[in-house]
Amino acid sequence: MRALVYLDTNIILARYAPDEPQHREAKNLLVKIEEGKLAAVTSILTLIEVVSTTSRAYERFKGKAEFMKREEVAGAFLRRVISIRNLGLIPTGGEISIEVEEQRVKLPALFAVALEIGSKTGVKTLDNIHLASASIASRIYGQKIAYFLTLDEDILKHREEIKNLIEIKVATPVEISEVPFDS
Amino acid sequence: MEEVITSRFSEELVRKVDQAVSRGHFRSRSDALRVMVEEYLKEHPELFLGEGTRELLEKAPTMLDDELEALGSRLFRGLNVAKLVAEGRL
Repeated sequence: MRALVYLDTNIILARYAPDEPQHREAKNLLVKIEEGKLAAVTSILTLIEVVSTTSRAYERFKGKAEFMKREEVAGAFLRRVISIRNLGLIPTGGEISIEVEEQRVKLPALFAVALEIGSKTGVKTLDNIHLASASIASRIYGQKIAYFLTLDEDILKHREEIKNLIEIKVATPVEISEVPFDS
Repeated sequence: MEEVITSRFSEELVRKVDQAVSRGHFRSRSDALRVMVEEYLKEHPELFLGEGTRELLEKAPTMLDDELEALGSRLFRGLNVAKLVAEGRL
């Protein structure tokens, strides 16, 4: 069975940012995934982050990219991410109903898991959604996620806590570059 | 302004609606159907959303990895991508 890894948004974008310190490792990783040597999943939140991050980068880059509009740049990255072979997108899932003092709230399953994780960790709100997506992915695929791959300093700082909570190791592409996934 | 619409329902469905009305959950058949349609639309915003995303994807160019990397090298020059993504999570 192919190993399954979770990709944070920053890994996918680092693959297209040659100046990024772990660009080469991120690129190698994505090549392995597209070649089918490794399976990967990410959250649907990643799609939003790809669009918003490239859009914000474009804002700082204004005047230098007249050849493409902002929407075209963000859309081009979005198209490519959606089309990455062997990369599964974890959906929000059906709704879970919660009732507190006759007040009923419906939460997508993903948010319910994120809420639970959020109550037990010190990571940021949207990081909880990524962690919840990874946790849900293990259940959907019936396979343990080998690594939650990220370049996010805050998530890396909480790696032990995360490992204890969702039983997934957190690592950077450099840290797993010698792992023989395809053997 | 209200509009009257005509619609066909199976006998079974009409029976269920009438039962809900007779039990006092709704004032009338019309009230029951109006509430049910309103509730359904509230639960399913996807029915009238999503066009913007489709349009964004349709208008976006399809680029090869090398082309996207060249674009990325200009777009992200001087920026730390991991920090940029993290900024969006604050």
